[in-house]
Amino acid sequence: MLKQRIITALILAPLALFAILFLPLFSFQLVIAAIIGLGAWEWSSMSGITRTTTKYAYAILVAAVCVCLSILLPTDLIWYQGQLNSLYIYILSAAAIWWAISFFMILGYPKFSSIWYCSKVLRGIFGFFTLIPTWVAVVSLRTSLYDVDPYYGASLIFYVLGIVWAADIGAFFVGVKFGKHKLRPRVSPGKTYEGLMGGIFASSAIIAFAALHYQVDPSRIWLHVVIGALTVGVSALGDLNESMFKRCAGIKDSGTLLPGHGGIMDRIDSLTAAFPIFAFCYVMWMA
Amino acid sequence: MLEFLWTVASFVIALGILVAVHEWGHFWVARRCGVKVERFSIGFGKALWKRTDKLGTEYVVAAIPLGGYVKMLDERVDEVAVEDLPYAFNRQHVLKRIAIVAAGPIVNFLFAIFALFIMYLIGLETVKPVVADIKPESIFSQSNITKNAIITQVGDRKVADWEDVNYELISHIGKDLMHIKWTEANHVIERSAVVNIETWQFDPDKGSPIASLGLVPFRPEVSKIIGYVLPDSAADAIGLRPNDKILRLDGTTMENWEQIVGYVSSRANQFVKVDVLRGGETVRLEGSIGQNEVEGIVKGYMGFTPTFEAWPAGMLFTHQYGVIDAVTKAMDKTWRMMTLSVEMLGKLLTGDVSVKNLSGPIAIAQGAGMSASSGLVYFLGFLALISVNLGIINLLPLPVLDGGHLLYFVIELFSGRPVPESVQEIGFKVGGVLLLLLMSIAIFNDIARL
Repeated sequence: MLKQRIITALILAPLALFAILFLPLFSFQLVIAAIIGLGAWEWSSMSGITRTTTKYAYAILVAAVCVCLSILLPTDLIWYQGQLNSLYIYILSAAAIWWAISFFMILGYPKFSSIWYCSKVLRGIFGFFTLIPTWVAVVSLRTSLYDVDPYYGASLIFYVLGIVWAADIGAFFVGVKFGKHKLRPRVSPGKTYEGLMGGIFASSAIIAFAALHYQVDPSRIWLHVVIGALTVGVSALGDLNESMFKRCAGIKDSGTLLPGHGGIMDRIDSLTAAFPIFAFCYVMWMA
Repeated sequence: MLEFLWTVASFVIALGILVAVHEWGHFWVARRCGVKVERFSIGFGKALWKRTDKLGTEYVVAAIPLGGYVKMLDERVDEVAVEDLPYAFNRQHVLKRIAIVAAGPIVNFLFAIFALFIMYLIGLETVKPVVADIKPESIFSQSNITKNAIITQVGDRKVADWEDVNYELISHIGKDLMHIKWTEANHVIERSAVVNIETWQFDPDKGSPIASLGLVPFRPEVSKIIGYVLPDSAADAIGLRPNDKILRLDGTTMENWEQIVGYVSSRANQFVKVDVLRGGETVRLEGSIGQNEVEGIVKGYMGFTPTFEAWPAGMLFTHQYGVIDAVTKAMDKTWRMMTLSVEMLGKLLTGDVSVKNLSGPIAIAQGAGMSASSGLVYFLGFLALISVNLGIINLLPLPVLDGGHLLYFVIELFSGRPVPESVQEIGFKVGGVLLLLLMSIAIFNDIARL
């Protein structure tokens, strides 16, 4: 299982690296739209949709929205005079509100879940708010300051990926090597305090490194740190959010597309929260 | 080396006291609430000293003196026998849990009041805020405040000494205007001014708030009388002694101490003739000036320090109070320290104060060492300040800290059930990253300032 997992990762990582760094912007938008479409396919199952035609329709609709946006808004107008397009700002703000709502849904689960529990439509709409802002966020970050430095946006994407994955990787390795004190022995026996610390340490290291790399002004270090910490937290929220929907639908893995990893959504669940929130904060305070 | 040991020792003692006080707060209230306390540890890691009382609580002093903890019986952490369940922390009513967690910071504040109370009982000497001069082109040079002014009020608070002034200036960081009141030397007419401080850029690397605004505090002149001679130094070899008044070097009359320092430092290892006044008689001494290397530059060095002329009457006064007054005064001061700490944290968030102002353990250690060598009263004042800070920081609503737990409990109070552990974990991650990075910034600042 672990072997399969690593092989899949080794095939996908170079592809992702290539797409982020070298793909022309328009193609990049389409590739991300395709991934989001696959995510939507899986989300439809998690929403309790069982009819195959409806699932296709849902996935195509989500991907089509992204493609339409790419066609309607040329890549050189996504950022105009240092300002992100206002439609994209609205979409990111909507995502910020959605994740705040999601936080309270998880906090209250299963108290108020009856409102949305039975509604496939409502759960489908939640998918829109999860997936489309992710596309907008990735594209907005990628095109940020593109005319100054075509790789700047790529570095921002790597930064977010770094924060999120460092938390997982740090937690995993420190947990395996030093894990002794169980965090919650009955709920998730694999997690340890040491692992949690490892994740915190690894993410902090990435955030600190980024502060040096981007030469953040001392007066804004504080903001940089808060945004980084928020991204760490919200990525864990993305994880929980997906689990909550999967639990509702009574499934374990979101799909079988990635051998050893489960589905696409299992891999990008943290990112669907981390990217929109990071992009929102970045646009609001750092750009 | 000795100074280093002194600093480390003062730091360990200061931190030990504050940690013990803080944890004792948790411990005491936990016991009152009927929670079983398994261990009360000052310091982390390997136990150096251990004792168990009849209720089964282990008291430990451990090797790493950077904190401590109280370990209570808790189902979430380990298996609890059925008969022990009523004594588990997590089984208590949420209000009791709030009391136990809040007790640590609260006891820190009470301890600050106590330390300041003792300080005011013993009494400490402070200096009246008399302005000797105002630097040209500084922010205060635009106001009509003059030399010899005695500052009486900054903002809406009365000030009695330079420490008070410093506090109130700090609290004005990020504001546009500063109201200030002072009396002239005759102590009768009170004048006031509104100073525009919009352009004030306070940078902790470049001196105190007082200096950065252009105020020069009055201090007595340095005399030409030697106060201290370093053993085995050049001055010692020449035969200079405390209370010698330096008249001439190589026949040149010395007007003041700066001139003496200038003369000496430009003549490393040269032969010098010193005329001093000793016991009413002029004595001629001879010998070689020593040398001292500072940042690669060799300078002449004697190894003596001057004495200061006496403070004029009324400049120094002693804060010493009776029991009742000392209590009120201590409570007042603690409250001001608390509000100022909160103000500063707020300004850190809004960006009015740069993260450069954060100080970490090294700065605290230096402060501990310095205040301890100034005497017990200063050390008490320092302990009170750090105790208040520890209390405030611990109340921040960051998971990991006491304030984070309180936040969870307050949510529980409203929602009627504990915050899900998965959500708590998110909180720990965010809080952990924030705290780790802030601590790194603070330690980085400390090292940069060394």
